[in-house]
Amino acid sequence: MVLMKKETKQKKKKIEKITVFIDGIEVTVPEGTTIMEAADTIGIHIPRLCYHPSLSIEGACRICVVEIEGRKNLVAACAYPVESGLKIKTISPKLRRIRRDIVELILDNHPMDCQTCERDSNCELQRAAYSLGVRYRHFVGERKNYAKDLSSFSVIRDPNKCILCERCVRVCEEVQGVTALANAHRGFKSVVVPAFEENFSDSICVNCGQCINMCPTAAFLEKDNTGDVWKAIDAKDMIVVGQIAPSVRAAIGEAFGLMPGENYEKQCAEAMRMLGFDYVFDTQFGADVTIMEEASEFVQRLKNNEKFPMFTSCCPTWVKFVEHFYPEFLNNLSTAKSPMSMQGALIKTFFAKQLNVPPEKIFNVAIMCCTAKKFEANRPELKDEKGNKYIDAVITTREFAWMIKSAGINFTKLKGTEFDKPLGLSSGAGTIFGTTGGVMEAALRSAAEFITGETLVDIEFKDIRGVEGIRETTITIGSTNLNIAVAHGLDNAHQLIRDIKAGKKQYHFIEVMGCPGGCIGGGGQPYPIPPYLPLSKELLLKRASALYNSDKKKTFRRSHHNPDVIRIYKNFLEAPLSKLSHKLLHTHYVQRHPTGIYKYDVLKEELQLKPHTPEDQPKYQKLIDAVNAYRLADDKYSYLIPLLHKAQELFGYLPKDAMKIISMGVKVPLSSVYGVATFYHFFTLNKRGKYSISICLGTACYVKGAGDVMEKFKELLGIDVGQTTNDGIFTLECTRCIGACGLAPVVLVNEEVFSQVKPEDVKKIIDKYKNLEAAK
Amino acid sequence: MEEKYILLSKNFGYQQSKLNEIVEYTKKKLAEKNLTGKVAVKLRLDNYYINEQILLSILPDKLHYTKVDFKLIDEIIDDYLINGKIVERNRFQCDELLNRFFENFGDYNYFNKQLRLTLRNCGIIDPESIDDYILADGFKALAKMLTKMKPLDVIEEMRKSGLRGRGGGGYPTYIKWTNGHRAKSETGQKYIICNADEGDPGAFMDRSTIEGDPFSIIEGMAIAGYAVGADKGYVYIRAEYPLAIKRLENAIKLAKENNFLGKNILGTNFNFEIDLRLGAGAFVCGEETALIASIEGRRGTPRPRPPYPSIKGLFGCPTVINNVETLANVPVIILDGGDFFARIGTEQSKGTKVFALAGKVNNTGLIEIPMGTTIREIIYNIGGGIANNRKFKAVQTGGPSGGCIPEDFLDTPIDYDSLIHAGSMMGSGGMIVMDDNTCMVDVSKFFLDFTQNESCGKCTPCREGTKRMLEILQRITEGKGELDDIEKLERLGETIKLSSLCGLGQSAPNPILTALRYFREEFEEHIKDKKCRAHICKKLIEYFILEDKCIGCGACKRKCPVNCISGEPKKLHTIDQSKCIKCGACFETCKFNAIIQR
Repeated sequence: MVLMKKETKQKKKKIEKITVFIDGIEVTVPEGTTIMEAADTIGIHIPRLCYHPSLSIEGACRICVVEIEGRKNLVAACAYPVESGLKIKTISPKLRRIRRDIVELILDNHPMDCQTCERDSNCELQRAAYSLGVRYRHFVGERKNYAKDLSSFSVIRDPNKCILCERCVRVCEEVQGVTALANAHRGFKSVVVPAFEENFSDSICVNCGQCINMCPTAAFLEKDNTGDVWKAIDAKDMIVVGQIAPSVRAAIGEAFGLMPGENYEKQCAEAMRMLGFDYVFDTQFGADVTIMEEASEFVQRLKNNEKFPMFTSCCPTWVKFVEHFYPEFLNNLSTAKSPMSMQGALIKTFFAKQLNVPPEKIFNVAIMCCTAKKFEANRPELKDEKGNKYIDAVITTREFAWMIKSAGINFTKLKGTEFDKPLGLSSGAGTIFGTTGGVMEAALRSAAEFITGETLVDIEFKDIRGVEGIRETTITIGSTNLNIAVAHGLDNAHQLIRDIKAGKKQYHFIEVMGCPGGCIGGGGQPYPIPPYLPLSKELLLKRASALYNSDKKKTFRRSHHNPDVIRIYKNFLEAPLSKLSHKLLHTHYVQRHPTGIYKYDVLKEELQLKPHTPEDQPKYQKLIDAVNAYRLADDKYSYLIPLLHKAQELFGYLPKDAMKIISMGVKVPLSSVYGVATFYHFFTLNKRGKYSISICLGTACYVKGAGDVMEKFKELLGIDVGQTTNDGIFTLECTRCIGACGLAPVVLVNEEVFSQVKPEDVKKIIDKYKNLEAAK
Repeated sequence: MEEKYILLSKNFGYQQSKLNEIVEYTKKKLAEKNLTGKVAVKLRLDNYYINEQILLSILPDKLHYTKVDFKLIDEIIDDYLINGKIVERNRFQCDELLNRFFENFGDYNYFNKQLRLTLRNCGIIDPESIDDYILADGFKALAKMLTKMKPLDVIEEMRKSGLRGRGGGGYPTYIKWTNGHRAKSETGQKYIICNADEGDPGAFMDRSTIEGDPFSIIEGMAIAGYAVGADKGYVYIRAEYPLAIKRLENAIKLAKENNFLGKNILGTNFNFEIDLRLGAGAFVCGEETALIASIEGRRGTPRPRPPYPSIKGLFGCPTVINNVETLANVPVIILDGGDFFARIGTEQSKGTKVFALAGKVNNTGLIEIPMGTTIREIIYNIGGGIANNRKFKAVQTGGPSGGCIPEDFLDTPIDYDSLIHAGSMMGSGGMIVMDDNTCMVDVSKFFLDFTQNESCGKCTPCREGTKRMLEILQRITEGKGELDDIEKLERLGETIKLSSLCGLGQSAPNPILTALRYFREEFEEHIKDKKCRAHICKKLIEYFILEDKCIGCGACKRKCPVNCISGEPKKLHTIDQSKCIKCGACFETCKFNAIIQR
């Protein structure tokens, strides 16, 4: 996490203090502080949209502009570090006007549907518009119009609401190390997309939903499954069974204006009953079962001394991440299903049997902090032998809150009720699953006692608590020393795996959670209430404390002490890792495509899977040779553009496979390669015509009538700029000055130059090449 | 290697066959006199319109002749090459005051007001021959520096010279170098970047400089590298310039082979390498931080400054970025001294500036003038006045970041500050002359269309604001303008100018704001009267048949694609304005000038 890096940096260097004047107030802050941060310390909240403290500085939205005395241009307060003695103005009619104009410009290219927007009056853009006094629309004009991407089970992408702050792009790259998203095209046509603008579901997106958390508007949202739940509740013969994840109870209060730090599990249970759920269970019970299985698996691996390090597998984001980026570690993932999936399987088998109903009559709802759980519920590996899903609908904390609100339930006034039996009782170990380090701590509480057969005195593993990106410790159990690591935020997972692969680190057991902070920071959690920000350390610690405090108060704090867990093993599952356990509670993993960028070798397999035409094959070979020349260079990513040039030279355009080869070769994520290829005019992603007609629209040519010439070409060829005629002969293009202004207006056909072209010459030029073609 | 060169220039308008004859004759004569191998005959790749005479130069002796014929060749070979007596016939003398660079072109017709410093070798030397460059004092500055100067001495010379960045902004070059010199690099690595991403429409100075004299860029970069402490340089050049790329690649290769680049240059412990990186069609990459992003293999979007590139630039290392023209001046400054350089130009703007003179003037092409030359001198002396005897309306400098300067400012001396004062800017050197056939609203739209197209899309004001301004201008040119549109343009213009992230956005409204300043009435005419006085905005043109000239031949009626012209044969015809699609077919057809636009 970027947040953590900042801290360590500050520790190293002695920081100078700098004094500046902000709106006449003297402020002394450490060197390197930005104007925005300095203003925050004296209670001046400069408006902001693209800024987020956990991400790199973008400086793009410009609504935080401030005046510096003696400077002509305004500067972005988020990006400008204070310099000694600066006199800064953050409040003035001029600044207000300009900030208002900027927000107005954003709104002029934004759907006007605040009343029906899912952002639920918690939109940063809306807040900025209201507070800056945007009341009129002066500049209405063309507006972007993209289709929503509904392909993913988890995340919906709606570029029409995007304000291009790139917070999603940055969180995906910097915090998650996935880079499924990138900005593509340029200027007014800029749009944030996955590689090749393909479906989100076909990308390397790991469904973590941090883009939703980070988005200031509603350009990203979870896929709404509340409709399915309402329908099931409405259906007379359906038994609606709910389960709720630990972290949901630690954050749901925020959706109702309550400050983070409290556990609202009983209120959740009551609200679910009021909504019409027939049985209300606790995912924490599933978590206890998970520990039984996972800890036993770990003990077994220790006994057999194999497949180390063992990774936890309860996080679906992390699992998909491994499947894309590190398929060589698939065997290191614990085969245990996640608590949600275990609970789901037990509800449709054990509990269905108890009720004496067929499983099809049960509608299994999981209320999760997580968007990736929606994907997990649909994984084919996790379906029963008939191909039915164990979990029928996953809704996020936010969706759950919408349901409560739309039912008219006043959540803050609820007294609370208990969960139902037999799948509702949980230990403290199950509770702490919701925070980073919690799964590991829960597993160690059981594993240690499984190994030694003795009772642990201190069951709180403080070393692995907290919000540090990677935390590690060595513990001694019996006679063995175990190296343990905990990581959250997938960029930290990259780091951990790099160290393991380089032989720098050796671990026995590693917990990885995809989201920063673990599940409490999940992509389905409520938008935090100001002053809290998504991902901020303060918010994550508050939510975590709600869980740790509950753990302290629990009668049972170890999973294997949970009496209902003991009972279910005795009456149904027999023992951890039993045959039935394996059938219901364990799973397997598969390598996924597209592969993450770190797999150059896979590329060859992929190319063999999809052979190219005989004409293209040698070109691909040439491209691979070119890539090979650079792929081990230190500054390899700087060869991205030269290699794209090479590919375009070979093929005449940039085929997708060529971009894939380059992406893997120079280790630039595919989405970024696409972003680069679409940014520069020189690159074209479509096959060009045999003859490229390019009309110079430089100033000299323009004033001498190149515009009319262009119109004539458009008319006669029947195509627009950038298009190719249907017969594949002509492509029409415009260029900006080829430096032949003396010959203006100039037209280039491939390499041939036509000078002083008039509209009436256009037909002759076209005919010349048409005849050439006809002669062939 | 030959000791001397006879250079013959291939001039515009001169018969190729005659030139070939002269070349053949010279070669034959040299062979007769056993001078082959000692004196080479070369053809100069002349891009410039000089005179309709063959120009002959003897290098390295810097003797120049015009009106070359067989007899002159005889005299030169017999009297000078063999007997050492300088031939005075047809020799053109130079103005001694203005040093050796002026020797080449003296005051001579087209070059009347010009002074060639940056383009000193262009058209003189063979750009693919390192020997030619060396003969023209090439790499002398590098050698002088490496043997006699410390990095700080170099920077001091640069300070004295007063050279300001030729890319457009006019930032003093020595300050960039000083910052780069002082900056600490964690890895010890620093970089020099030559910005050859010349993107202004209508500007081709950098292309010509590189095509004509690639070695001077290399020398300039090596000098910058020495001063700053960098051992690696990149040239970021437009992919649209294949010849320039080829010549530069060749020059780098030759310079390496001859130890002007590489390790231990000229036997010292100074190392310097140069790599090329091709642009890919993005005007915004002329902006320093966007250029760096592009070399790093990313989208060419700028980032906020500070940190400035000289502190944290390419790959996070201190990086000095200079424009081609700036670097081409560096060897001159080092060799002749900063004081010499500072003698040319005005108080605040030293040296010369290259412009690409284009548009509606009689002579178009590349010109180089000392700073302080007035716009009038450029247009009327060098440019030979407005083409077709039309009336001057405005001159556009600074490309899409600059503005249109009206007649009142014709006597403005060319320097950074005067041009800004006049509402434009120096820019990289495009200079487009416009006559009264030009519609200022249309020109504003043209430039805005360009910047809007080239906006990277990162920051809101530039991305959204330029689009809205363009839409408003589009409306105005289509006769749909409203009275508050001018106010809206000014309001958006101010917001974009003040709050955009980089120079592209900050200057994007300039062409419109200056047009509004000087040609406001044209905008008002478009909006209120729905009229375009230059008859450029198609939708505002009305075609009208003159009663006294129409003979009723019916030609226009037959041509009209929408049948909106009516009239009996041999009687006055009329155009139904409500149906007319303003195609202009009738106007083109009428042989009696009876149809007018208004």
